[in-house]
Amino acid sequence: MKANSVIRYASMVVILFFVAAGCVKVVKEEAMQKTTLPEKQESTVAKKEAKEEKPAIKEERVAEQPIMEASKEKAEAAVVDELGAITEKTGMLLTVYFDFDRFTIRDDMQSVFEKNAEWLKKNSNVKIRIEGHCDERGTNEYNIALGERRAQSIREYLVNYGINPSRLSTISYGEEKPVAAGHDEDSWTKNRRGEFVIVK
Amino acid sequence: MQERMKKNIFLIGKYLFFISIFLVTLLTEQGSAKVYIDINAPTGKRLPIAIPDIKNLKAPHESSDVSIKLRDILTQDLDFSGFFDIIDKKAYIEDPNRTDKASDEIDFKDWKVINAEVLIKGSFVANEEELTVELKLFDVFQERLLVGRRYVGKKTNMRAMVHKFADEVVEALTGEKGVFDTKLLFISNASGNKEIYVSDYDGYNVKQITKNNSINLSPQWSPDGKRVLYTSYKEGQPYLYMMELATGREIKLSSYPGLNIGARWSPTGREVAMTLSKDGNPELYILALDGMKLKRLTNNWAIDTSPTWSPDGNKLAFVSDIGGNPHIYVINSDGTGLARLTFEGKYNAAPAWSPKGDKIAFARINEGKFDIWVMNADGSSQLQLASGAGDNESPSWSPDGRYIVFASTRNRNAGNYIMQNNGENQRQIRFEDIKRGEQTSPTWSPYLTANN
Repeated sequence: MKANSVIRYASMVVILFFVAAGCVKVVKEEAMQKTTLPEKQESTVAKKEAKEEKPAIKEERVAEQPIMEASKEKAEAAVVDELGAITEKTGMLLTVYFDFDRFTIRDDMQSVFEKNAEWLKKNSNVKIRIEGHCDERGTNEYNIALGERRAQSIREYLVNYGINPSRLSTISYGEEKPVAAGHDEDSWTKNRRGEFVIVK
Repeated sequence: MQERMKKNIFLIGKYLFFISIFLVTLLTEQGSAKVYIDINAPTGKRLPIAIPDIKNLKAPHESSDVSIKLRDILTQDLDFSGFFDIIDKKAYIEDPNRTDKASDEIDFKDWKVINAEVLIKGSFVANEEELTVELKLFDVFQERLLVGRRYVGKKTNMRAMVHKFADEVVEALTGEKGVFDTKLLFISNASGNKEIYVSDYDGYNVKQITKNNSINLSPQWSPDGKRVLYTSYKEGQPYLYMMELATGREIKLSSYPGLNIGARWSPTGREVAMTLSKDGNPELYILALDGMKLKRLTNNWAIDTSPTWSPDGNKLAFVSDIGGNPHIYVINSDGTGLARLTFEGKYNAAPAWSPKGDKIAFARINEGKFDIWVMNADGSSQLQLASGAGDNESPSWSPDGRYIVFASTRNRNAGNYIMQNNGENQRQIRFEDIKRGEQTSPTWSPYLTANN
């Protein structure tokens, strides 16, 4: 019985509401129901953000400096390589350079391979990791794939020179670890490369 | 007795449900009775809109920070959309201090005279933390309300409130919801390392979501906007990870030897297309998340990467250098029907299938630098969109398909830019609190629901 009167009451309220209220008010009602949920959700997100904001900014400033210096150092190392000197940085092995979007070994890299193979034969207990790199042009994804092809090309070439394949592993960093920071052909030429890191 | 109670409550519920459906229908009809902006028109006519100051109901005669901010957010959204010509405030002749009249009573003559076709009136009440904003869109000539909304929440959610209303305004005038309440994922090296960040579409509310001091790449939204796929070198190798945005919880999804890169969620969210090189060469695979079964899609000597799903999930466009240079190809999701889509340019990459399925955006090297191009999904009608200085790469569509976000080096350091899908209205996104480094790999979120 009670429930029935509830229905009647509710119906009357709804009808009265509908007749009396203009569309404007109905919209408001509708809108408020719609927006209650998201507002709650977002406020918790906002709180989290506020908490994290400060340490994030601090972290930025500390980390920026070494990276700049590191890439400067590496850029210098690359220049030295081009002159034919052997640097500590590349593990006594010379960097191999590539043409844009290519992973084939250039003719002018033959002498580099001869020297590298010679050194690897003298130091037969050393294992190395070949790192493939690209310039910044193109997608990060395609460049990681390209960097892997470059590292594999170098590996195959060294194997042809008689180096045991079990001493040679590969990884690609794509365009993610440039030695030269510029957005120009000069930098790109230096960044399309294969480097060597002594693993053991 | 209890049974009967239940039944009655059910009836009340049903009754109210039908009433509300009826009301919603009424409102919808009202909103779509007239097409104000035809989004398919070749040269979009901009609708003249007037946005007077948002009134502070507690102190109607004073200007306030909140009032200025609310109007700024609204005008930025509507200006960004490319649909509106926002009439300069100096031209308004309505007396802003007319406080004796209720805000609903508008003298539409004041707005007709300055040729405003639509008008947004707003008011707010703010205390320490809480904010209530009421915003209304009017048709000036028909003198009627098109949209009215009230938002109640924390002051810190002010931007979200206005974005939601701007979405409603665009929906009322074009028939399709706006994208002002969406977000972007992007990469920034501001911390010294490439980390993944999330922000509002306009660069506000920036939040760093990876902090592993490694290299993080290719962030991708799940179709429900709740999770992110990305490749990270944090364990030394490029492995694929999946992170839940709300909790920051993550799992390693794929860690085969070699590459685990370029992952993209299928439209259903049940599969992930990606590039693996575990068999010696970068090939496309589809990983079924339920059971983690792998299906190989391509089998050739070339690089196959950067897949993008058609919205129906039947096809994938991707990049392959099987023809000697990187070009865009398409393949059915069962591995059949391989076809080449691009033939010009010596480098075509980063395909992005549009949300409506009709277009594919991509990056092409033309005259020595990358620009954003768009073509029909069958490869026809290839058209250059973004040009100018620097390289323009990494296109990603807004969920309504009206805009494209991309990375560009036009201002020397790489930043993220947004343009309309016809290449007009290009502008840089200024990320709040990121004043350094380079911002790349932007990815536009799907429409986000309350649970994001």
